[in-house]
Amino acid sequence: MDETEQRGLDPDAELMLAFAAGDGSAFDALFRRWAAPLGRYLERMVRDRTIAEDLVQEAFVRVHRARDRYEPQAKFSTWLYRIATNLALNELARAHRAQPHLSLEASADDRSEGRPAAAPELAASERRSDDMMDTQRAGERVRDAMNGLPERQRVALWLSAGEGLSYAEVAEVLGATEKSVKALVHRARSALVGKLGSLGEVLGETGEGRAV
Amino acid sequence: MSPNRDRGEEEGVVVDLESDAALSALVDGELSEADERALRARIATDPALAHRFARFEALNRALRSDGAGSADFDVDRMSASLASRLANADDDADASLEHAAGPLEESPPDFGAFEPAPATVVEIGRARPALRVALAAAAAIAALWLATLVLGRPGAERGPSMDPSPGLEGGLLAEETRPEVAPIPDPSDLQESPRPKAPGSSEAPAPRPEAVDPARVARRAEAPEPSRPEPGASDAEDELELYAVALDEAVVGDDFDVIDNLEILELMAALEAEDTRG
Repeated sequence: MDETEQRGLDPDAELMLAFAAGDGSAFDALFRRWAAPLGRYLERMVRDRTIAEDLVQEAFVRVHRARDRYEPQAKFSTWLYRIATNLALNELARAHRAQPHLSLEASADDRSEGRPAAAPELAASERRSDDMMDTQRAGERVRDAMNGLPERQRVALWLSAGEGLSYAEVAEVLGATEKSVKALVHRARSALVGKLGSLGEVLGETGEGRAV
Repeated sequence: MSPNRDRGEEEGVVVDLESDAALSALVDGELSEADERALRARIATDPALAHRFARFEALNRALRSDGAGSADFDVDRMSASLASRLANADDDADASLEHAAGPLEESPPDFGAFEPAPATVVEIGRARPALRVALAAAAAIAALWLATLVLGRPGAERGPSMDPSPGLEGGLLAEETRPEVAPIPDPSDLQESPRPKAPGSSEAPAPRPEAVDPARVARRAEAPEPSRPEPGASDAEDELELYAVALDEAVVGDDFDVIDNLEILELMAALEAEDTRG
């Protein structure tokens, strides 16, 4: 058991405290640890990699600014996801205000048709195995179906199922109770299963057996 | 599980919503050990519940695999970009602090050579109030000048609204500056009554309360003729001409020598007295 565990702090919170004390390398370490996972989460949220990268940086700018006020009351990752989620929701609201005529389905169509920025991703996916392609297709179908969910349900399910956060952590991120998060996740999951009539078949092709 | 369960229907299958919530929590690993054991036992014996649970698990796998195959984020590039952004943020903060701390007249413009458009907008915006004031002042001066041209010089204001006397038709002159001249008399009337009535009065003017000084009257009688009006056609013509000039040019004041009607009366009375004595 190292000193951090003895103090009951998660390693990220310890890094954040070190950064607040003037250790710039601690901030760099935090960024390198969380930039990619946070980027994937934000890319799911805003459905655009460039915007997701921008939001990751903006989230860390907020972390940088808040170093003097930081108190390790919760996990650093929870705090970081909360900042990122708020930024993403703001971005989605801003995009909706700018182009209210664009539906989420239209965004999904744009993505499936392949925009220039996504071309390398598509080229790479062609080299993957059929199983991987099936998994990707299933993921895209699920993602598109999720776009029709209420925002809080979608975020709660993403954080829980996609990012592996506990209900308590999701509650911290969303500023809700655990009970609410449990209900949000359940409703989102039930709605998705109901919405994707062929989901069982699609996922059944890629699933490695059912845990019964 | 509570006996009063909410129930839903999906794809023709009755869904136990409470069990559904429990299945969702099981997928997320949020059930206690005891609850998990009990639920797994039910799943093992209930094919419908097992099918439902399998779909939930498949959905979770899809969610977790979503994006896993996409290209990784270039963290090095993002880190460099973040460093640049933080440096700019610090610069902006410093500039903002300097701008706020420095005296207003010494603070430099906060726009750069790369942003001419905002600078132009700012300058026009700042100049606009002064420009408006200057234009308003010029317009006011022009309006005053025009008013002076139309109404004439000060002391000869024109226009009905400037005339407080309703009895005067046309109201060309303000009452306090209007010359006390008689209206144009009828020549026939002049034969009988050389004394014209004052404007606006329906009766002959009453004599002044002070008594006539005979010496003064005599002095005036001995005065050179030009200043003494004679009742007759020529005097009436002169008076008419003067009156017309006064009306046409609206000339009033000191340079217009108006014959005082009362003085004429006084003069006539003095001459009559002389004749009577003679």
